[in-house]
Amino acid sequence: MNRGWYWRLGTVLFVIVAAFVVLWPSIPKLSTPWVRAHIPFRLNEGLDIRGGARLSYDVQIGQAIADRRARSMEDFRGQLASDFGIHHGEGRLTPDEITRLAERVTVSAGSTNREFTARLRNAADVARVTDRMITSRGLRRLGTSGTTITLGLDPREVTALEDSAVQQAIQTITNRIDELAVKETSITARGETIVVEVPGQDQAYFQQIRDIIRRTARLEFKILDDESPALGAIIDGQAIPGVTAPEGAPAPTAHPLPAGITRESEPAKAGPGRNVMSTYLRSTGPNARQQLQEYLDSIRAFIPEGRQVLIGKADRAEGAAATAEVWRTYTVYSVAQVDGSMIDDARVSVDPQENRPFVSLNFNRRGAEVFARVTEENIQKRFAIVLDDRVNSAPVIQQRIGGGSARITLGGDSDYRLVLREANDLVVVLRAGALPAPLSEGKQDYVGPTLGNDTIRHARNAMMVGIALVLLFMAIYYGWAGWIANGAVLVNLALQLATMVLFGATITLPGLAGLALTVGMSVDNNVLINERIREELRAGKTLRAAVDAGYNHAFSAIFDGHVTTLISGVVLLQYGTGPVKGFAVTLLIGVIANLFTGVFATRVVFDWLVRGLKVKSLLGAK
Amino acid sequence: MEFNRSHRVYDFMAIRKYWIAFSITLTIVSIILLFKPGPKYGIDFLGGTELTVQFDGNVDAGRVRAVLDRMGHENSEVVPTQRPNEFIIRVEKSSPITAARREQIRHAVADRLPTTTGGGTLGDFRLSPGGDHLVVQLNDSTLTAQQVAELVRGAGANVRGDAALQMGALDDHRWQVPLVGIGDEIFRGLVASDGVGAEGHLNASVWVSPKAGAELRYAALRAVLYSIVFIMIYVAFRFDLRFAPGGILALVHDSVVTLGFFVVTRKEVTISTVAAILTVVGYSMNDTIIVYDRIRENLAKKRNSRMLDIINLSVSEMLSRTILTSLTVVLSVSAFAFIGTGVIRDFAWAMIVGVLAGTYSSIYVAAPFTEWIDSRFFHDASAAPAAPTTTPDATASGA
Repeated sequence: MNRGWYWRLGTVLFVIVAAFVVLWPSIPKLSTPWVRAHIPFRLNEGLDIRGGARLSYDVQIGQAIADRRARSMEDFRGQLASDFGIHHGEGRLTPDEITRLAERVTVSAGSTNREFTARLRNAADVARVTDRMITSRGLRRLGTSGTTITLGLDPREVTALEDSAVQQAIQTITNRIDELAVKETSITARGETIVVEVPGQDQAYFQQIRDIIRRTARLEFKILDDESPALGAIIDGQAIPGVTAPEGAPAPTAHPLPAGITRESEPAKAGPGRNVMSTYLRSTGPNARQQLQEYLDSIRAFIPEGRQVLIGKADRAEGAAATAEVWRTYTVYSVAQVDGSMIDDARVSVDPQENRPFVSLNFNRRGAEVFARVTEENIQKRFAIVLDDRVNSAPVIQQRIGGGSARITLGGDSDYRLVLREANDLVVVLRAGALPAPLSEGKQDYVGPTLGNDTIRHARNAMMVGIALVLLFMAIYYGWAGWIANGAVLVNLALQLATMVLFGATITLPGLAGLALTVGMSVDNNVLINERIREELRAGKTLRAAVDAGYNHAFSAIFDGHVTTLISGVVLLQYGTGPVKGFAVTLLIGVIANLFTGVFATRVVFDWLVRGLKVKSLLGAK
Repeated sequence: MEFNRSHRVYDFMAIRKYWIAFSITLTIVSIILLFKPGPKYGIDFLGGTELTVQFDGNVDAGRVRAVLDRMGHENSEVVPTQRPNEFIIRVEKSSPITAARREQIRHAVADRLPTTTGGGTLGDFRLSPGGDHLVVQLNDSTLTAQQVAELVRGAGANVRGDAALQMGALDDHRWQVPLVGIGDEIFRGLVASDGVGAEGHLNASVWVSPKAGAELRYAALRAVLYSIVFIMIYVAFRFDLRFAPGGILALVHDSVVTLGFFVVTRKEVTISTVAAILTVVGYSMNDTIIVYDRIRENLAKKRNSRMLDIINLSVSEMLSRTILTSLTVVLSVSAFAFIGTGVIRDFAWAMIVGVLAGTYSSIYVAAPFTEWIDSRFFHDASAAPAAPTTTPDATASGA
């Protein structure tokens, strides 16, 4: 036997041993507590065989409607700005245009989540808000009194939103779980409640699923208004300089800061050569975030038109306790210049200098164009990267950014593994898209298997019988060569199971039937090869030459057959969702395992027989 | 042991007309069946009703299943929860309410509101698709959960329990009102039955949406179509253009016939069926490729033979392999078809039918179609430069 053969034998043995080690802890009869404690791999059984966790979420449809109203308000502002000759073209309003528009009109939320009001400063402008303009924006006029127009969302649109919000949320959750793993998960709706069932017992995995589902993942880029004196004026109860209060607006009253929140100022850039002192609030203490948010909610009505005060995590002061959180505010223009729909891809990268993981974003073509334009218009200003209404970071725009990418830094000062996990989770949700409405998380329950013990036992027996029938048949038909094929089939089975364990895929009952089927199909390679060897023997070749020729000639058919399967597997993986994707993974694993055991491994045995042992008769022919 | 020990060449193609006619009929009938009466979709695709039942005594999931089977709810799921003797039961039935009835209730609710103190005005009024609950929005109302339930019951709806469920923000005034439906009927049947033998409590009965909506069917179909395109390109590249359409036709034939089988036998189409069809597509393609491979080899060897003879020779040479492989595949799943239950049994049947169709179609769909394309389109094109695997003597092959 030559050296190449020993190498091949070594590879085959290594793979067999590796597969056994992976499967070892999952075989109760062979494994010991020591094995189970030291080998982390486990066979995951599906909901139908083992059961799992049952998580429920309520889709906050009211919030989805309020979000739609917020978008309609922005849209309506844009329309008015065009009608008033303040804004031209397609793009979103610039900070300057927002300020100029605020001198003509105030658009603010109404009494229900589907209404808003437009308070015009000039009576002459009332006539410019025509019914045609309102209906073309998908809105309804609910009333006009003096210069105040009350508008509402089209009821049909609200209904459509209610109908689609749950479906869209299910789709988004499906995408997110697909990004995460190939576990069989059931996602169904009961009215406005979404129930996600995840197989297994792994608490850490359930927690990860929950973290990923919960995030709304709405990503927005907003320009900071560092020149706004609004915050200071609101706290002191003064009129905001440069802003004429709209008619009917509440008179300014002082809003003293509660203990724990302090008024701060920082030097900031507000354009080329413009250095200003920007006012912000800083909150420390045990409930820093909640306290700050509550204070902001109480002054919301006084925030000037087109602005928003958002919160974000701030750096801790020197010497502060490591557990204390510090939050601060950012005053931004409420128009989202760039949003999540303009993201093409998100990836985890590691900053080589600081050795910290971060998330890098690539914009799609439209996003890159918008981002380049916005950064060009706002040089030397800060822009906030806002994720789920929290400011992630607010860097200064140094120059026009054309390349179409941005980064999100994470996790303050927690350790590397936590930051990496957070980055991975964020990538999953950004890729899968934002939820149409926030979810409120319900209870986590545990459920047993959906199928009865009898059904599972029958299926296991059927699998054994099916495999035994195939093995027996091959042994009868091919004699010793049949046993070589049978050995390959068994190794193939172990290999596929081991790969599924490594991928974290779930074994379901139909999956067991699929495995039995794989056994039947994987025999095909050996049938092709053995039949070919017989043909070559009939043509008068020696056994050794016939084995060589059999493998060589059968290979083209095997190769083409497997490549076509590979193609459909890759396509199913790319375009399929949920169970279709899981199927594709099994298919791809099967292709590789088949080629390895059916062609590579059996050849090692055949070569040993005809070259090493110099057997003269195989396959019932001489 | 050996099949086709005599190694003779059978004239498969002589009787191809009958088999082609058979295949065309089978495919057309299957396609018609897919539209009318159409496949019987299961809970995976249509949704159903989910009951949460708490029994008072010790009850075993198997017994509940047996009783449900007897009541005609086959393929229902009985899932134990973490609380003792509590089960989640999923059945395929739902309790639809007609649009006219819904409007009747809506008007009755709207009519009663002005006379109800603190009733507010009616905003949204929605009925869930499964008829298990109503959602009413009562703007500016000050009613309690009990009063809302009473209001809707007074409007003629069959309300279950005595309280509605508040949804979303408090100032949104949205209420979910559970209705009596198929779940209650099933529950009464369960507790009345000797098989279960315990009293119990129906904690919830709600309609569940399908696990796999139109989205999954669409994704599966789209993925299959895309893979067909890529496989066609591959076959055209590795073999030659003549071979690609036959393979695709065989694949369509096999999946349509398998689905047709499901319609005829009234077997339920579930997510597992989608997996089975995808497997059939893979098997069909693989089997066709293997026959094609031999045709390609023989075409190169015997340049002066007619295409028909080459097909006969190739199929005959591969006959023992074809029988052997389809036999082992059928053997491997046959146990599931006879021992297995429910979803598994249906999956096994789909595979058996699909594998038999896949084997047959390589010989009588893919090969004759390739021959037809060869004689129809490539016969005249003999002047054009031939592809590497094409016989350069294309005129002779058609003569």
